[in-house]
Amino acid sequence: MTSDAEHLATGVAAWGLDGDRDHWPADPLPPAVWDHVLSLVDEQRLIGLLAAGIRAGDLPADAGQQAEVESGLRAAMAGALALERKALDVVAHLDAEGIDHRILKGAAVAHLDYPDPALRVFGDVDVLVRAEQFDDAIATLVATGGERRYPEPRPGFDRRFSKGSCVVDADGIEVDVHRTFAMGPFGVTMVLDDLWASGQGYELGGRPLVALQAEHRLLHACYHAVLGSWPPRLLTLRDIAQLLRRPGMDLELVRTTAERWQGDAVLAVAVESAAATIGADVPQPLDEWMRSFRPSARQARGLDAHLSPDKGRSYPWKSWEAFLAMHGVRDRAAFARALAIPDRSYIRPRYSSNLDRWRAALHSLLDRGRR
Amino acid sequence: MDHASRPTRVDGARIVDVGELSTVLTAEGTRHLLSGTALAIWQLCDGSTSFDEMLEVATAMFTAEAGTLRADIEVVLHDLHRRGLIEWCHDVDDAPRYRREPHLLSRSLGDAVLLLALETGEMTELSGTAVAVWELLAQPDTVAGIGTELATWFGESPERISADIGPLLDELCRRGVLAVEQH
Repeated sequence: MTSDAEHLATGVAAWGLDGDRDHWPADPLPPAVWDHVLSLVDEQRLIGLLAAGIRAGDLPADAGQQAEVESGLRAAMAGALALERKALDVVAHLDAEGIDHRILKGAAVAHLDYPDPALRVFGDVDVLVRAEQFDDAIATLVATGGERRYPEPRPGFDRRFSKGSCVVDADGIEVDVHRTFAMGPFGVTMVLDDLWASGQGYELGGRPLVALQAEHRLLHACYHAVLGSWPPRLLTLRDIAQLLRRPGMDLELVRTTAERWQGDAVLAVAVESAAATIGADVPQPLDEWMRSFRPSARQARGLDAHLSPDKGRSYPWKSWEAFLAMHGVRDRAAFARALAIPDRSYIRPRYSSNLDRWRAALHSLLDRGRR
Repeated sequence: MDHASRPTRVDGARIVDVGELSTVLTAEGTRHLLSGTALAIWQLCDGSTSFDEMLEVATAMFTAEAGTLRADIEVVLHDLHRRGLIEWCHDVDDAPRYRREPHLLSRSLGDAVLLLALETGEMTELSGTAVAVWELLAQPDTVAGIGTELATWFGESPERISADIGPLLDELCRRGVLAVEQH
């Protein structure tokens, strides 16, 4: 990836924001650079923003480039509609079993937080369910033709400790069933009941759906940006920017909720990243708070575990920090036992043996100690 | 169209021949020049002939598809009413109205619209005039209503537009993105 192409892709993610930066040249890009940018745009799911920017005349493109983008947009939107249809199916199945749910991420923010859903591309269906109904939700989706992508370490582990699980249908559509926003310590300290105390209704295809309330959607975007993968995806930063500028957004509620969840460090890093990367406008008093915020030692350790560029090695760190963040001996014991001696079905896809798995984890923790 | 609807010529209006042309003269003295088809339909507006019966007569008289004739008759009746030559208390309300099927997913793509019918999973892409029709059908409307509206946009006659969009509306109904409200 060239820095030029990265810079231009960042400009696409920033298109239309008040603090829109002068990322793009006045003339269409030469073919080699264009191809590179288009590949980044595709990877970062920014085709909706690129198409809108070109149509508005802000991002210059020649006729061939425009046609390429419009074609890519059609394919992306056809995919998004298929995913929305799947989301409605999932909701119908969950409703039939009396399982509470909230639509998360793309299928919600595209309609609730963007002026046009075609701006927001997404690649899977995300739904939140209550921890106590998690197993029922997975069983329901499996019974209706889905297949669980990964086995859990031990029965009941996902319901108690995981971020969630993925179920894939016969068409290859992924449904991510979430229990909490993130794995690791920040997922453990969230107050999950908060998410169920409210919600925002909307309609899709003439059918009612419920998403998280706006403040929780912003927090989810922040958790996803910082704790999902690092550096954050440009589209997730754009979600944060969209939510920050949303009329009626209660930023004080966002901040106090993050504090209660012990996730204020996540909020600060995510918002700062959105501001620094795509020029998201951070309203006061959040901006002032963010600039003066210092994470606690425990939050810093938690962030460290997540912001490691080595994903394979960061998993044991996150698990260790999650273990430390847990309250109660029983939870800790169950968590440790499941990870220390998981079922064979859990080990097989990833490691040749439990010993091999332990060795990798030990390396990771030792590496961390040396740092 | 409401099959029970029976349009009636307004009181005092009559046909007056002017040379080889036939016109309709109203009680107020306004003269209207009508096409032969329009005049024939106006004469059928006797308060006892229903729309369906008019369609039967037209089908016997002209060699055209029923869908096209239906649209033509609707347009003519719409025009006759607009000129004040017929009374038809429920003319607009009684005509079949096309509406967007509610169980649809959609995306606007600049000059095109992508639709997915939830029931069938069939994807439909609209472009050109079809997008204009789709936009108009944000509110349910009749063929004549759509034709009249599009005529002002495209500078064509309502009859021509209505005849053109009839098959399009039928196709969109078949694809499950539009539905017809019958009275």
